[in-house]
Amino acid sequence: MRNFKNIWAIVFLLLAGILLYLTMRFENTYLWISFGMVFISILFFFVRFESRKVEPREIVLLAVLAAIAAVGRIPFASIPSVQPTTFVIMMAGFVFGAESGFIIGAVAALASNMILGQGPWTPWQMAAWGLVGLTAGLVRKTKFMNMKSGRVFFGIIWGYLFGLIMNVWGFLAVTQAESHITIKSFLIYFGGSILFDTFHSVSNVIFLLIFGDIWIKILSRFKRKYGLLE
Amino acid sequence: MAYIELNKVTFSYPDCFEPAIRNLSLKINKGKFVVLFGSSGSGKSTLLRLLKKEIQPHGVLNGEISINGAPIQETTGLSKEIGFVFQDPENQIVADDVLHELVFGLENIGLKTNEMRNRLAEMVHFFGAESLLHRKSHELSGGKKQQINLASVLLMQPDILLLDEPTAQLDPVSSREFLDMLKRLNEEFGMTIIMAEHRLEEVFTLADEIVMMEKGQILFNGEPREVLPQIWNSKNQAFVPTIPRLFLSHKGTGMVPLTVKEGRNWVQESSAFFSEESKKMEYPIGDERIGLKNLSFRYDKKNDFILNDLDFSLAKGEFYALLGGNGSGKSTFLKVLAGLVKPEMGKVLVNKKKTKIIKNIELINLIGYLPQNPKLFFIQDSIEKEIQYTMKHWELNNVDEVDTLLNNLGIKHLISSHPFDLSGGELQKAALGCLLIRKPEILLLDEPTKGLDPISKQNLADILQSLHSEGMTILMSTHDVEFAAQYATKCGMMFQGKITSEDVPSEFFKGNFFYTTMLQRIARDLQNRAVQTVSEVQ
Amino acid sequence: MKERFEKFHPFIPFLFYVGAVSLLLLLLHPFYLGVGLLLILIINFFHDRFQGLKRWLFLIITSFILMIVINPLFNERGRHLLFEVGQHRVTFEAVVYGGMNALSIIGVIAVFVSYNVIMTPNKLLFLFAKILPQFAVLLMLTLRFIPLMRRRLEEISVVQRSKGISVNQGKWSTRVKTGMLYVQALLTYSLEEAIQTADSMKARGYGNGPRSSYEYFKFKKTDAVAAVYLVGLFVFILFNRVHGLGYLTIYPIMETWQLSTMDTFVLVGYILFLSFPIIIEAGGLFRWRILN
Ligand SMILES: Nc1ncnc2c1ncn2[C@@H]1O[C@H](COP(=O)(O)OP(=O)(O)OP(=O)(O)O)[C@@H](O)[C@H]1O
Ligand SMILES: Nc1ncnc2c1ncn2[C@@H]1O[C@H](COP(=O)(O)OP(=O)(O)OP(=O)(O)O)[C@@H](O)[C@H]1O
Ligand SMILES: [Mg+2]
Ligand SMILES: [Mg+2]
Repeated sequence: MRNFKNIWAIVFLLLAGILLYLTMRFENTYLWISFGMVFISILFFFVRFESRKVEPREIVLLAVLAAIAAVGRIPFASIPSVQPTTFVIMMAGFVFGAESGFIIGAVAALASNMILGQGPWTPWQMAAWGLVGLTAGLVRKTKFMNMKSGRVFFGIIWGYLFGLIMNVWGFLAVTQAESHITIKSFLIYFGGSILFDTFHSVSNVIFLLIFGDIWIKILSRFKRKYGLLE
Repeated sequence: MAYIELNKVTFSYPDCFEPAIRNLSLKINKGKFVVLFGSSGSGKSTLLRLLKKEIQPHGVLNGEISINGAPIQETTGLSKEIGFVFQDPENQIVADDVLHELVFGLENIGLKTNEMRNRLAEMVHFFGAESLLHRKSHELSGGKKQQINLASVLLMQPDILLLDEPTAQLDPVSSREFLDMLKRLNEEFGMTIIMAEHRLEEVFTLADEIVMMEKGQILFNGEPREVLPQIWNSKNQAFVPTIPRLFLSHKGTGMVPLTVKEGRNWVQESSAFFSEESKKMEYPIGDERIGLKNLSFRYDKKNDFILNDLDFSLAKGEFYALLGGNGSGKSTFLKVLAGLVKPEMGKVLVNKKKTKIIKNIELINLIGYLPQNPKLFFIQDSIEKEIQYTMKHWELNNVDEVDTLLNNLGIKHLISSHPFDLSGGELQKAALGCLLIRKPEILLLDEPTKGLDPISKQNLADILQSLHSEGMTILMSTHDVEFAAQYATKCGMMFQGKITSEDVPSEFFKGNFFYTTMLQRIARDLQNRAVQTVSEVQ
Repeated sequence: MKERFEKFHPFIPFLFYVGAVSLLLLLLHPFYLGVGLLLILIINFFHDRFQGLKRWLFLIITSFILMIVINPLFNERGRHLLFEVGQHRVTFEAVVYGGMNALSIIGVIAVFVSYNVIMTPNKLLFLFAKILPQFAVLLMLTLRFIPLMRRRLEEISVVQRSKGISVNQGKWSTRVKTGMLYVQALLTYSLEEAIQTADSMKARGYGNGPRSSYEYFKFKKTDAVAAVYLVGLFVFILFNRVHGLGYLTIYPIMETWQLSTMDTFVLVGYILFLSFPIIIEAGGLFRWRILN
């Protein structure tokens, strides 16, 4: 296992080094570089996950949550822009911690795209949902997040932040190099998706208000049942 | 020293007063085929799990368990030596295609690819599963899934095989195939097999030794022929399968017959008398209540039709049992009939009048549907809430009636529990209760007897019969041939998307090889001796 | 026609697709992009007669139009004024720029379409199992659970419909609430059942020691040759790209579209790289002809 960690540490340094070098050599290839960065950071979390021995129960639990996050969209197919994926990942991160949260989010995106078809958006989706879980896990011990209003606020923020992350690659693609990225063009671009992001935020809030507490209760019960207490 | 030895073993789950296993001692020799049975909650699963270190439940364990002379706690690497097959075929599968599933265990023990290939080739051949290798695991029928589970465990070449109700979900043919496979493993490879089962008709013929458990203790233990008369003479008569029951109820002498062959010989030799006429209660059968005409259905435009040009008619007052193989479309048929999925072609007639099926509140009002998996019935987290929710949804307020209903079903004391904490029988009854509140005229039950012990099954049968006698029309799908023969007024067989060979049970079961009762098998060659089920004989 | 490309060790197509995406993103030059897109389209045609592309057609066309329109909208820089809309300058540079971006992005999407045909989940899983075995198990389980959950969810909604409850009718708020109740039932039920899955993994020795992985694919000599071919070309192109070749400078002054000698070399390398799947299939066909 030690050996494994060392090898990966070297791989990461190498990758980061190459990326940095290339960044300096090609001016203005933001899109390419951002892909590289997203890729490396996702890989970083996966390797972290790999370096610890995960019990069968935990691995099954993560898989169930990721699958539910991916499948949970189905009953809402008839209601536009409403999907509980973000909510599920948020709850998972909140109860099971930052690392599990990231893994669940990223795997949900990766696996569902393996079925629906991958595209250039896959790494961004993985990163965005991964971050939802990660941040929910990071702040879960704070007083703020243990109040309902805190969680609702968190849900609102992530509704927009998610759209922002998903738009980055589109934005960079449109304005690739040289056409100076101005605040104005940025705002115009993001304005286009604001309606959808608002829907996303609103549905997060609704889910958190009506189902947040009970989901935390359910997940905590299973955390005990699966023997996953820290 | 016996191969597997349990010495004064007591085990309690955390937060439980009563121990699940109580001062239990048992010796099992190498190469034996042992069948564990007993009522639900008697501790069969717990006992099996205690024998495999990796999946021992958490709790307090006292006493000694040793395998091959070594205490189980101290041994390592037994995962290879002991294989375990669980009840539910679905939950054991970890990979999305069959090949991955099969090699999963081998990968875990770190085998080289070449070695894996060798073992795989042999095992796939043994199971005749070549064509399945690249199929997706979720597309297989229940019977095939369970065979794959067995194959995956066998690939690890265990010496001991533990099975927890492996055939509970299988149709008669698949379960027969599965049991034959076990028999071969036991006879040809000397594998020691311990299996927990509720459906005892066939397994007793395979067993070298049977163990009956009650409340965590062993009640009877020994060779089937020796033990069965003892069980017959105790209060546990329900556990005695048909053929020995026939023998014992006629106070036969000599060796207790277990197999059909032995049974037939005994019947021929003895002068046992079988009544010709059925003493079954006659229920008034009325006009057609629901009918289907030329109905076709498939889940996906890309796939084949599951129901194909099917005609069906259900008369008022009927108790109809639908049989058929795993994946033949019984559950699908019930869903179509209940108006829950929309047929692609064909007509649905209610009282001989054509109706538009989906969103049809009339049909939903008329029908109470109990799904194959009653756990999915509940979306609230206690029975009580579920009942309240139903009453609110249907605007009912007859609280007293509901109370009586729950009392009659014997689930009044359970209403505050979470549905998933109930045993199989209790769950069925709870779901039935929630259905009956609405007073449907027709009950559609999807395999209501699966996984029930003989006592709960009897209990359910009594409930269904009393509903039937009050005029309820019942349609159930089942793999339980004996149950259908005993209680149904009409049986049908689902095959290739159609319902074929509909008839009254006595006629229906006559011609079949697998879909027939033990007694019919005995009677097959005996002319002029129509044999009914035991309850009729008595 | 994708048999031979499909038969490679999954690492080779993976390498090819990573390389192809990088090249499409890095070599922004109208000639390169035009040729690249053409090759990708041929590959797609070879693989599935555009079946996959048809599915994504809407996305491809909208992104193409969006890209071409948006760039001149955001960007007024450039010396060659085409026309003015009100106060807004639309320059030739901006249009060329937008066009190149558009080609690059739809090229990338088309590469992914072909990727989805060739890189089945099994192959990706196999690659993961090599470098991240534990994560591969997690991914495998998730892929197993997704169809299972979908079936269960469908089952739940059918059963609830039999009780007169539905997500397709009624008030918006009750529909959302009911839908979520389904997901909640699915969660509780699946977590309850999944303990058995974990037990079945444990019972088959998962987690007791190092895991091996079944070699569904062997790394053969042809794979090694292919890997050297792809990596060699990629490094060659990248090296030259770092030195400013294979790239059309637009600002401050747009350079001529003409390719220099070295540019042409790089273009040949680029074509050799991107047409790898075509060469493979054509080679196979050729050999087959000769043998017959
Ligand atoms: N995880 C658990 N926690 C607490 N109690 C349990 C647990 N599992 C089983 N029990 C209890 O232990 C007793 C024995 O259960 P067990 O599952 O072994 O019975 P069984 O004979 O296999 O029943 P069935 O035929 O229904 O499968 C029961 O009273 C049951 O309620
Ligand atoms: N929701 C679904 N989507 C797609 N296919 C399905 C679905 N449900 C069932 N099937 C397929 O339809 C066929 C019939 O399934 P069904 O569940 O009706 O069989 P069954 O006779 O009830 O089997 P069993 O005895 O195992 O319960 C099977 O091949 C099954 O794989
Ligand atoms: Mg049990
Ligand atoms: Mg069924």
